[in-house]
Amino acid sequence: MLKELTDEKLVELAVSKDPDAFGEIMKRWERKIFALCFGMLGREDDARDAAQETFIAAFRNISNFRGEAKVSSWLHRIAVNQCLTTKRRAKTRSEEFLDDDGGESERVFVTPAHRSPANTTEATERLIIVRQAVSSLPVDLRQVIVMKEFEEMTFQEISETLELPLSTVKSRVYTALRQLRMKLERLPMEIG
Amino acid sequence: MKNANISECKFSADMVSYMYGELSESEGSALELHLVDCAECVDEFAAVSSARYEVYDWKHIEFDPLETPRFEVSYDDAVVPSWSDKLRAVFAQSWAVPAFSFAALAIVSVLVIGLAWMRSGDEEIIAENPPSQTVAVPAKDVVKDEPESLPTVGPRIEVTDQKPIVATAAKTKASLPKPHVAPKIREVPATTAVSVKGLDPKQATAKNEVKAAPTLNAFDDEEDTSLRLAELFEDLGTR
Ligand SMILES: [Zn+2]
Repeated sequence: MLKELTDEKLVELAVSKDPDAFGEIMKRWERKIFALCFGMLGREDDARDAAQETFIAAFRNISNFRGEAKVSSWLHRIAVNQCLTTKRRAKTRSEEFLDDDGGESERVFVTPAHRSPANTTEATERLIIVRQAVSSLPVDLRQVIVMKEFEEMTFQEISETLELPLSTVKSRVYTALRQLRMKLERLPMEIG
Repeated sequence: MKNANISECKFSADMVSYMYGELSESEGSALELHLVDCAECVDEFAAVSSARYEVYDWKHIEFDPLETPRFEVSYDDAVVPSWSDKLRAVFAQSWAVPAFSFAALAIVSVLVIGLAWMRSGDEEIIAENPPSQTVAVPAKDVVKDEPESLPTVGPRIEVTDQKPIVATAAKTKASLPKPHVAPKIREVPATTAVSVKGLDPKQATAKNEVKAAPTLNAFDDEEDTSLRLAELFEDLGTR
């Protein structure tokens, strides 16, 4: 069964034209690639486009995958390059249409595809696990995560509120996210 | 800069700032340039982005539809008050004192009027100040010439002057701490109503039962082990 194969084996199969193998790779990695693109671009609609482009590029170049890197690292690099291209394109666009911001603000209201699956078992499991992971963080780390993600404060604002150096706040958020990543990594692939 | 230990890469410190859009343009460009060359940083950025997105997505799915009150943090005030401090502040507010005085006054006046009415048996007082249910009055004392068909279940309560006052005062009291306390976020049924592998089987069964009858009042408070936003904040208040 495809589900039990390693990423590398799946790539091998995909190279030899197994039609389902690449689909399984996508299924495993689409959420993480989307998250990476979201981290790079800060907008869900842009991130979705970039993630899609990433998999198209990966599919086209799958025979170039040599196996000296992990499949995940290979996909990450394609995604980062894709996002940098998106950013360059957006920058050029905004320089060309400096006074045109109407379309830009409208796009924020596009319903993201990653926003609706609360009704699936998998998404529900994920929510429960994320909730447990966040609540099990040490208090000082949970505090900055709540301020950053729930109260949407800037690092500067958190630093002033907690009377902590800016660098401390940043490293706490970083540490919190790394700890969360480790807690979430124990999940099955397609959930984490 | 290809380090086995990612924390040694000088760019790792900038990653979260970049992710939250809080790097200057030049710093951002430098990091982007570095990402093209450093596979380790790319993997690290992916890991951090993934963790962040899970929290972001959780918040948007579970909390955003619930219209939670905003958490107002005054940035002029560098000290974050604890929840108990906030509560205390609420009760120390000047408007709270008149509100309570008013409530107390209303209750006392109900009692006094009720007492006067009991003693006098004056029909005029009954007509103008029908006793509310807060006053214990025997049914037989109700207006003598009242038609038989009227219910004799105690005093008439439909046009009391006192009761609304009491109710308003009570309501004011009840609603005082609300905007200042971390909201108790109830679980959205859809997000809990499914059993989870690896969880306590007993708990999973309970969740499944909820799914079968997804009504709000089907939630047993003792069975509901979900984390509420309030709990997230619970021990954050004090530094
Ligand atoms: Zn690096």
